Amino acid sequence: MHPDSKSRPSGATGAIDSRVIQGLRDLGGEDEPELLSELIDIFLEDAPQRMKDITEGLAGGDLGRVERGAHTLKSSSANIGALGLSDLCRRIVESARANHPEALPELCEASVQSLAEAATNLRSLKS
Amino acid sequence: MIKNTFEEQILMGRLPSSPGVGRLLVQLVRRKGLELDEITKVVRIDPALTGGLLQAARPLAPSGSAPIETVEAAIQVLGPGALLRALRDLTLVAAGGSKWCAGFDYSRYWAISLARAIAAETILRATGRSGAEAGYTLGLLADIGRLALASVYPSEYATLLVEPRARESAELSRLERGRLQIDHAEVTACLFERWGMRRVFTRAVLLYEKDGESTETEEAQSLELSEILRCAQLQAEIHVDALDREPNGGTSLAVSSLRVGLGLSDEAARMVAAEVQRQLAERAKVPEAAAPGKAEPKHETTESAPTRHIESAARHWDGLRILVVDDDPMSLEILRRTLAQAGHQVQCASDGVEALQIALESNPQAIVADWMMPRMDGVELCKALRCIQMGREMYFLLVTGRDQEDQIVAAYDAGVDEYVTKPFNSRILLARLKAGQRVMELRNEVDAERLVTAQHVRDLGIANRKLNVAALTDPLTGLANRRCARNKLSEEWQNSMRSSSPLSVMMVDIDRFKRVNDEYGHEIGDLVLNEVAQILKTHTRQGEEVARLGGEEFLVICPNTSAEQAAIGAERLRAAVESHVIRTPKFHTSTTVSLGVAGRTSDMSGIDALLKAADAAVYVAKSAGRNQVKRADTAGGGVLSA
Repeated sequence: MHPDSKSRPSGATGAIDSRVIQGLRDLGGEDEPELLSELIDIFLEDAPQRMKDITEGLAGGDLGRVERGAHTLKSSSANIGALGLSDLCRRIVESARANHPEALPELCEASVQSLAEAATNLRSLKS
Repeated sequence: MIKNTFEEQILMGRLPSSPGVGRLLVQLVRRKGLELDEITKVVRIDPALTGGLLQAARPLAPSGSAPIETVEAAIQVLGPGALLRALRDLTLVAAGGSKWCAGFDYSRYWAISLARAIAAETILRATGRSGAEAGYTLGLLADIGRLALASVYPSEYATLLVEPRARESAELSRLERGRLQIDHAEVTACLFERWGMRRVFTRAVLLYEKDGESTETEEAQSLELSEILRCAQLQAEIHVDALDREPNGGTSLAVSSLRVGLGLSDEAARMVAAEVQRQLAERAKVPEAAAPGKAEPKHETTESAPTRHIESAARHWDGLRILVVDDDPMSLEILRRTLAQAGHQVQCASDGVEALQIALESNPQAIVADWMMPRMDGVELCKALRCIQMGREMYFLLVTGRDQEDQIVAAYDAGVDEYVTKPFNSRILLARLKAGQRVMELRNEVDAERLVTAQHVRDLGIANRKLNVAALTDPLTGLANRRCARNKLSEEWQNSMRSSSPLSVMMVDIDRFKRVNDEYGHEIGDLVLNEVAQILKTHTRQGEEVARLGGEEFLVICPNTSAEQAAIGAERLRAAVESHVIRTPKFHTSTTVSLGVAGRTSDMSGIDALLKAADAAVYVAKSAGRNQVKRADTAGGGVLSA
């Protein structure tokens, strides 16, 4: 649950969906209260690698790498509740797969921004 | 000697192969073009697959042609289609699974088999003998009986192997016979016969582990092959166990075995031994289970909190053994937790290649795999697993993105059982797995029935061997009875006709036995019969068979022995009986025997003629005053003095 109104999906895309977070809290239950922050750590560690695949793939003209990075980031961001980021990644996958690179730079920039916001929000959830 | 049967072999149509071989074959079969040469190379490493191919090829071999003794020849007869069918039966044993024989050192077994094959081939070639290719097969399969016993009787065999003396091959054979009524060499011989191997090969595998026993009655070629196997086994052990690292350990042993066994000069033996070690160093590598250069796959099993553990034990359900595959560590972790929380045992892999390795090693019941992954994706993984028997039994659940739903038909074509879309709903995922679990449970019930049937087959196998022994043994003396003697003599008759080698028999009759019975009673009579039986048994040569035909009449079968040689042996028996003191509770006495010796001659029509000639000679010995040996006249049925 995030009280900040700016993080609603209508605003910035780095918002975290509270239902997903609650689901992950439930998954940990009383046995493993630290599960949520563990998952957040995994995401914070892994997501920049995937983003690197997207940006470097785009810079190097390797659309296959872009697609793979975005595909993985799409599911992991959805899993952690960063639905805006996940949606951006879905659009990157579609553009890369359809061989439409012209939409990619903009989407890419938006996703970098979105990840940064999501990361900030997730860190605040941990504390 | 009673020839053993191994009816349990119907249970071992599928002997296990090494996991490394399994990994290579699955990879090869997956590739687009069918690389027969590559497949053949891998199959040649593996005893189970080699035996299976020889067996499959046997009925197709053109009659009158040479027996099929190499993988290459089998494939030539079978064609590529049959080769793939044979590969589909590829069986792997998972550690701790129901087919796993604890205490059986599988990897050493595979390593020694391969090394023995290469060593046998090299010795044949380096000493200028023919048949090096068939020698490779002989070496590879020479100990297949041990693998067969471990596979058919995993738990019984494990209890034998824990005995410290089981490390010695002769002692192990004794334990095996005590428990299963058959030993590993006999099982190997039964399998060799079934696979259509030549008789000299079958004899050689029966002989090569038996050290220092007299083998005068064996055919020369069997003896030579058994010596080669013995040298090959030694070199294989030196190679696998790295004995030569000890100062002077391996090499001098290997050289002296070649010198003594094959009659080579010291220099020649040294050269052959060095060549064998060179070939072994180069070729004797069983492929490793995990791809080289790669870190050990992570075997993450759930470490459930103790409370949960107790809970699951109380329900008597450990869940399914599931392998989860996802390249995204987040998804992997969430999947793992979700499944572990539902009580399943979970292993993890981060892509298809790693998953394939783990699956082949640990045989999970279900696989939950992401579709899009680097190196090998989920659908490819499924296809690869469905190539082999073990993989076809796994429940395969594919995790897909929403955008891939339109391609799901292709996934079902690849053999996927069910799919869930991402981001997945854990309730739906678990519900789908429940469906998988029902499939597993049904399969387990079928398996349980199959296990019961298998147990019956095993019990029957052991019981039949016991019956066989009973039906062919004289209960009083423990010797072979008349029926067994006739079987054995017929067999030796065939062998001697085939190889034009001599064959003789001795008929032995206790003198004045009726008087012993009349004067002292049947108890003492039985005692005398028993004592004479034991004397005959201890004073005959290895390979000779002593039987009690009935009453006070015994028969000794002497393969590969002329009547002249047999007469010398007969005199030895006569003297042994005469000098032996029989101690009864009331008095000491001794007895004598009359012996008639006859050899097979070209005018004899069969074994009855041979037995008749020996009988006539006994009659002459009795008439001439008993306690003596008479030999049947080689020309025309008269009797000569021995």
